[in-house]
Amino acid sequence: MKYVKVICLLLCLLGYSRGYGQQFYRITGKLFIKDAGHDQNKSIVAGKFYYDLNHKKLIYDFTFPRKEKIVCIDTLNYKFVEGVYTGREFAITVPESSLFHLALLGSMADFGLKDSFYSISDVSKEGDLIISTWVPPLEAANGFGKVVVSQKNKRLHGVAIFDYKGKLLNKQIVKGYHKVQGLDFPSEILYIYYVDGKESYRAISFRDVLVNDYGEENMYNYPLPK
Amino acid sequence: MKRLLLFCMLMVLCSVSSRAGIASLFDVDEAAISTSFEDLNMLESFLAEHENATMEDVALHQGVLFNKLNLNMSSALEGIDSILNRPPLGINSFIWGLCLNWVGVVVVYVSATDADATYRRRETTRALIGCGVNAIALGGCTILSIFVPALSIGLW
Repeated sequence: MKYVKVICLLLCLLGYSRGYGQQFYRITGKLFIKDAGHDQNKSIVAGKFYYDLNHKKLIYDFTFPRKEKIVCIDTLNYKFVEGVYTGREFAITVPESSLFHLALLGSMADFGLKDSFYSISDVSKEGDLIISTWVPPLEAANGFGKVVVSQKNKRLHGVAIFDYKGKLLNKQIVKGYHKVQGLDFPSEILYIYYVDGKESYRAISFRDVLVNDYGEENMYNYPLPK
Repeated sequence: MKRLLLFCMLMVLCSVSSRAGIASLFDVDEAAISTSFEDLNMLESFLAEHENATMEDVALHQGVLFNKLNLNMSSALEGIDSILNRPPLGINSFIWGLCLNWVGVVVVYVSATDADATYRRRETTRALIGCGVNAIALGGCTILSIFVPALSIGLW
């Protein structure tokens, strides 16, 4: 009986240390971006993505409609078409603000707003949704509007972004989640935006998501031209 | 008493309706969306099964769907940025400083307080550079606004 207790205690400690020690540092998978504009214009892009917290490089390896790699680092996007470097472009956004970064750090549930200059102004519960409204500081209120975030089962469900005049700019709905080694990662995100007051849709879906994977090691730190 | 009860009921109703307004933000027209993506979902399945499929392969096997496609890749890349980043927050620090001047520097510094010191220093420096560029541009415009009229009326 004494041994059983000792074994139980050891198992509990092991379980605790494993759960506590789980660190996610890299993620990869297939992605498909589908665009269905209100004008019946449709497009699809397919490829893979790679992101590692240590390298802070976000790599898109597209295979369709053409072979193209885009390496996003800092504020630059490096492009390689058919394996040949074709140039770099200035980027407004940085990989550290991407979904991949937030997911690995476990900050996706609040869209990363908790660690931003936004502050929470209202929280309400309706049905199975917890809805929080985030507002920018007064100094930035002339440039940025509120952001409304909904959570379902403690996971991000939707985000609605408004401009500073209160007009809805776009909304994003997470349609489902993959559970990969304990990490919640979206299986599909629906993005609804407005062109001339009409709704257009864009969907991005993720398949075969892997975390902390050792395969394709060279892709996570894709070499860049000097 | 009746009036008080009526008032309370109205308040509760108003509160419920305003909450419903917020939640309805996340309502979507599932039927319209499903119809919009019907053929694209079929193409996605094809591309998932044929990882290295080229445009020729798709045209050959999914000809009808292929003809409906707009193969302008740059538009889809815009899509990545819009979906996968936090638009109001992922803006780089240089732009913050450039557009909002010292306010942008403060915003960058405050928003990076939870980050490590190197990151905070790097981002704040970028915002300061943006702020400096803003100041130089503003100064240049001010000087021009003085010199150009002075030249035109022959004071210089």
